[in-house]
Amino acid sequence: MFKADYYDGIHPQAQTVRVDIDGQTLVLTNQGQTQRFAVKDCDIQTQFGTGKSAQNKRIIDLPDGSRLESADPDMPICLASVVSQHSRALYFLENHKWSIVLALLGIVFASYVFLTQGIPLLAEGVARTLPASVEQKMGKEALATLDDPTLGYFAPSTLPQAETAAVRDALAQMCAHTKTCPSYRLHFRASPKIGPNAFALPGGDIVMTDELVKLSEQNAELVAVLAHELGHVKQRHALRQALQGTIAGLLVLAVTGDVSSVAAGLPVFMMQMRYTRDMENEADAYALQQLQSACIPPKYFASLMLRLEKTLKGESMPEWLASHPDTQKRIQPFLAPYPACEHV
Amino acid sequence: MQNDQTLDSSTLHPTTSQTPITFTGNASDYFGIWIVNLLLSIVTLGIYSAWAKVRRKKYFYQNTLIDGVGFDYHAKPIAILKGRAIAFGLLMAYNLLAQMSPVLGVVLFILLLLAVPWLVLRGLTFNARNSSHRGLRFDFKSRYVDMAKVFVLYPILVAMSAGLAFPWWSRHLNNTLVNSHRFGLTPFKCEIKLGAIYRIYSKLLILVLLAIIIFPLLLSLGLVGFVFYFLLYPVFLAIGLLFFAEIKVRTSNLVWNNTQLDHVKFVSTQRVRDVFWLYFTNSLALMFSFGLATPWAQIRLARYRLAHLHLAGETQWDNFVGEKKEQVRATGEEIADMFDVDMSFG
Repeated sequence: MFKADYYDGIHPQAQTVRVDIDGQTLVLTNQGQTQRFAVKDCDIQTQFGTGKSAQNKRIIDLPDGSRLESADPDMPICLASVVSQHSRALYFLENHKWSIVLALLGIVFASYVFLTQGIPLLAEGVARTLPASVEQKMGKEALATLDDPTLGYFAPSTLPQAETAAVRDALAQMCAHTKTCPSYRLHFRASPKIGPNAFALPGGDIVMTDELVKLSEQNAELVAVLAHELGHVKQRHALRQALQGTIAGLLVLAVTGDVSSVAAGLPVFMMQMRYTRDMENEADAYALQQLQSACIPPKYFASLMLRLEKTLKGESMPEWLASHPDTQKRIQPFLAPYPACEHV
Repeated sequence: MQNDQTLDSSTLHPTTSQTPITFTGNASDYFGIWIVNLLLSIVTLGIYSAWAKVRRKKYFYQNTLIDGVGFDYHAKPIAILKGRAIAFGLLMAYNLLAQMSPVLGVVLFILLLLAVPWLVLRGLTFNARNSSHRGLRFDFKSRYVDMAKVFVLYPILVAMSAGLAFPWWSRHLNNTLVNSHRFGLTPFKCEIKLGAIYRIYSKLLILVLLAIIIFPLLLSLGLVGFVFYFLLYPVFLAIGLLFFAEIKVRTSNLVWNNTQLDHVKFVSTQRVRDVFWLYFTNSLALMFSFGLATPWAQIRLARYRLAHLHLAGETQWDNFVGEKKEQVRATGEEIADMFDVDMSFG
């Protein structure tokens, strides 16, 4: 038996009662009167860690809405036979050093898996449901920002009309052959600040810098790079990337947002700035397939890439170089002989 | 017969005029609960989060003691899970239908607006009825019309007044919320004066006016840009946090100090600078620990708040009485069939 404070649910004052556990029955003795309850109808609450200050207290909710609170030293032994397994397990998990360490490791692992696998999947799913008009609006806004003269990224192209028209035609020709290009809008911009580069913005806006055009020796090289950018457009990589950043930020807010902490989202937003290597590989595979089916020798992709690497020597690498450390390995598929072409 | 603890603590301060509220939670114990909650919620893809909520609330409630006796939280996790599933389903349906046609979207928005008072009423009632102290349940008694005024109509008026009516709304909100709560059968009483609440917001008004003057000045000097982002931005954030703490602390003090429950009055003595420092250090700790400091941050905030809240005078618990158990169970069961789900947003 043990002593407990009994609250009847009507009067706020406790009565000291005697509690016995008789098999699967809880027997309550209050001033000589006894009440019996089936243990399965009582909620023997899982206790909390005893820590430094709190007492080792147990609360039992009785089926009639009244309750027992006990800190009697005899109480744990009395209740030992009727405390449920899951209650024991929960108490153990919450209070043992090693289970807490394991839980911590589990959470770190789960966060890692979620960040690297779950969020990209989620972003892909959301990207699929977003209407194309939303994506195009995002691209237009991004281009307008980059075009802002006070920021100094882009200036109007200084290339002769004939030169840009030739690139446009060459790309249009490739697409006419393959018939699988996504819809796109090609823009040329002068950008001493960024140097030779090409970008795919959300919604099909592709920007190529004058510096890249000047670096190329053939239009086929530029078409090869544009085929790679079309790969990003086709897979909606820019949108997915933006969504991933947003989802990761929201997640951090959800986990830590209990105490006003909007700032906690910042590190995550900074994490997701570039395309992942998987996305680059997808775009590469798409480019290779497009070039082959349009009978443009894929080696032009490799030749422009090698020249770029030489010119830049590692400083400010374009996106389609930077996230892939091993250029040699990457250009191998483009140098391999490709199936004979009938059109040429 | 009384329990030993109650006798002990009342004999400890027989002549003192205040009964303290003690908080016995500590960060190291709570860390274990928090991390297990989080892990199980992840492993069960969010389903356990309902059990986690109950466990978390129980920890904070049971570690909050008056005269040596704690509070308790009684919500059934299944009810919370049901509430969340319904909320999630409604949200998905709303998004889908609103996408299908804009007209339908507007109709649904109006329906949602009409449902808000009911949802708030259900949520507050659920929360109050599932909270107890000394075996007596709390309760929330209000009407749809009153909730509609406070949570829909008045916010629209506040927006139309360009925010100048915000303190007036805050007063109404706090008065309504406190006056609708009961401990057992005893209602809480609260009457905040309009002047007092406007005084709280007066400093904020001055700040806004200053900002209106300073911003164009900076713009005309061409100093926005670099200076703004690297110098002024952190300063603005700090000032924002300071005013947030100021409004919260002074409103909280005002509400508690004007609240009465039968013969019991409350004394709240939080200080703006303390709470600002708590918010500030909590934010930093959360940022640098990737959220792992959450249990510590929550515990120290709760400890501060309760350490600065007392009951004035001695508590004569005999003055209070709860509802007859049968009645509570009947209403509870009746509602459980259809609506007894947690619609609160916590």
